[in-house]
Amino acid sequence: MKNLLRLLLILLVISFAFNSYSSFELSGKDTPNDKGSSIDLSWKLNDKSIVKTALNIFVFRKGENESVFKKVKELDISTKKYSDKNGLEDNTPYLYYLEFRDISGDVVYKTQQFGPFIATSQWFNSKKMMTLCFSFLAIFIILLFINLAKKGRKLYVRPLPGVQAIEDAVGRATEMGKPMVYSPGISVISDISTLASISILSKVAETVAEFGSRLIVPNYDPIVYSVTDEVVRGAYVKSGRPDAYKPEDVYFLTQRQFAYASGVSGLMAREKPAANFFLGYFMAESLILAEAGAMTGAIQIAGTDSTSQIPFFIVACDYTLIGEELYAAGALMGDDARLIGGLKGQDYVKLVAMIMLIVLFVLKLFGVPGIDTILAGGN
Amino acid sequence: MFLKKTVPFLITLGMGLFTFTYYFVPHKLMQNMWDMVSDWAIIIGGGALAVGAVSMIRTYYKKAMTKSDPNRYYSMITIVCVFLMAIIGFITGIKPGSLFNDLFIHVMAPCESTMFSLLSFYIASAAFRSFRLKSFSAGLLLFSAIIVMLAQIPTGETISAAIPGLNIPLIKTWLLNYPNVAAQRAILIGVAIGSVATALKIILGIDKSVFAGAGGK
Repeated sequence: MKNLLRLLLILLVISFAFNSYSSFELSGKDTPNDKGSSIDLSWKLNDKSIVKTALNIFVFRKGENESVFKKVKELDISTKKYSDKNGLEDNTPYLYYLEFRDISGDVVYKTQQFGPFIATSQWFNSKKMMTLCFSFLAIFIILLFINLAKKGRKLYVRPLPGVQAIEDAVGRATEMGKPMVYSPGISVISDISTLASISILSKVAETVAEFGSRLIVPNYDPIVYSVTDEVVRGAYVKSGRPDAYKPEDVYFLTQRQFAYASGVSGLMAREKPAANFFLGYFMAESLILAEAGAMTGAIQIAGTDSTSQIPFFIVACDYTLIGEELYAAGALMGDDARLIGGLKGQDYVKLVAMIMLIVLFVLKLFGVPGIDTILAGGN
Repeated sequence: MFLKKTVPFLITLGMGLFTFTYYFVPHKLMQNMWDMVSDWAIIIGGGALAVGAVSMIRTYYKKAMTKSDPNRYYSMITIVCVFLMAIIGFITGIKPGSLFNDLFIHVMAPCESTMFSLLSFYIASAAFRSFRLKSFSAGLLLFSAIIVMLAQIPTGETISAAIPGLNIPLIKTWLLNYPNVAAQRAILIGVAIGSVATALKIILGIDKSVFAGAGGK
């Protein structure tokens, strides 16, 4: 028994000695949740004397089909990990070694070879699992309410004063015999606020075409111009008055932010419109437009999802659609039950989000682990 | 109707599903497809710019030719400038040091800066109108605005030093970091969920008003 204990003790001492002799450990793995061509390396240097003398770390790599190692990166001595994205090929084994060099470039310590490590491309970003789950939940709830509305279920949606004001403003402009100016913002067609603005424009244009009043739409983006032109033209066609459409009233102005502000301000000063609509995405030009419009005495209705510009519109316009109200306006102006159903579904998704936030907040207070990961999601 | 409604709907549906999938799939294949689609977008943007230029010239030409319009000279100046800049750009190029670039830097940029500087005057006039004490909410806005403005200037610190227990910069920081951020985040959450709902309605063709020429329904 004693001999056995001695043997174990000797083995333990040898093992300890061997570990302390291995002054460098390197691990490598494929970078997770990426498009491939990347290997994550991390290392641990146990020998403090190397850290004291060395200044830089040189990373060397050799692929399966390469005969010699190539330097891929020069790092500071304090670096502990490195993601190699330097011309890696997927599904190819790579070997690595590191050199620690001093100020004169002499090698202080050279590690053994590590690997092979293989880079691969992933089909799903697991960090976005919670986002995917919530997206599906949101889509399910919205589609459920759209379906309910389609089947004839009466759904109540809070009326928005700004939406009613849009309809009143069109009527007012028609009575006064003055034009209306409609700005769809300064963003691109892929922006949701621009799409929401075009949805409102289609409803406004229908009323304008019906009443025979005039709507001027200066555009910032040429693609947005192409769409607004067709939408307004379509509204005139739908109302049975295609000849009343004036192509020069829907036009591309400029793609420079302040040139656009200047152009629209000048337009409002010259035309003296009865109503101005600023619906879409705006930046610093929002107050310039709103104040220039206010000086003409027109009724002004604005709406944006740009949180930094909402205060400017609130103080300078008669009605403001705040954030998501802009998205809802198009649905509230029409009589399509499915769009109302979508709005109702959207409200319930918000309710679910609020409940989830409160529950996760309480769980976080009680120290339940993993809440940060759920809340933060991933990129 | 097939070209006006069905084709745009199918393209929107396809691209919507592709974009949704791209967000969750990092694979190289998706990345390459995304890059290709981005290139298409650039090409379409270039073509659309030509369409936009034609539209702008047509609009201003019509205005310039309307003799009864007293503002027609502005339209003439716009058209002359558009063609002049295009011709100069073609002849001298657009690199730094060229006449085109000089005109842009010494004429266009100062004009834009002038427009931007108007903001300071508009902020003053907008503040004058909004800070009138008409209701309790307006009172809260007025009070918060006075605190924030005082904290931005040395007077805020001077008043704080004179009155024990009062720290105007601290109140300002609290106002900006808590009530302000809470309100902004509430709007942002609403915007995010609203974006999902709006995108879904467009992708699935429930809201067809954005499809050009569909005429609303």
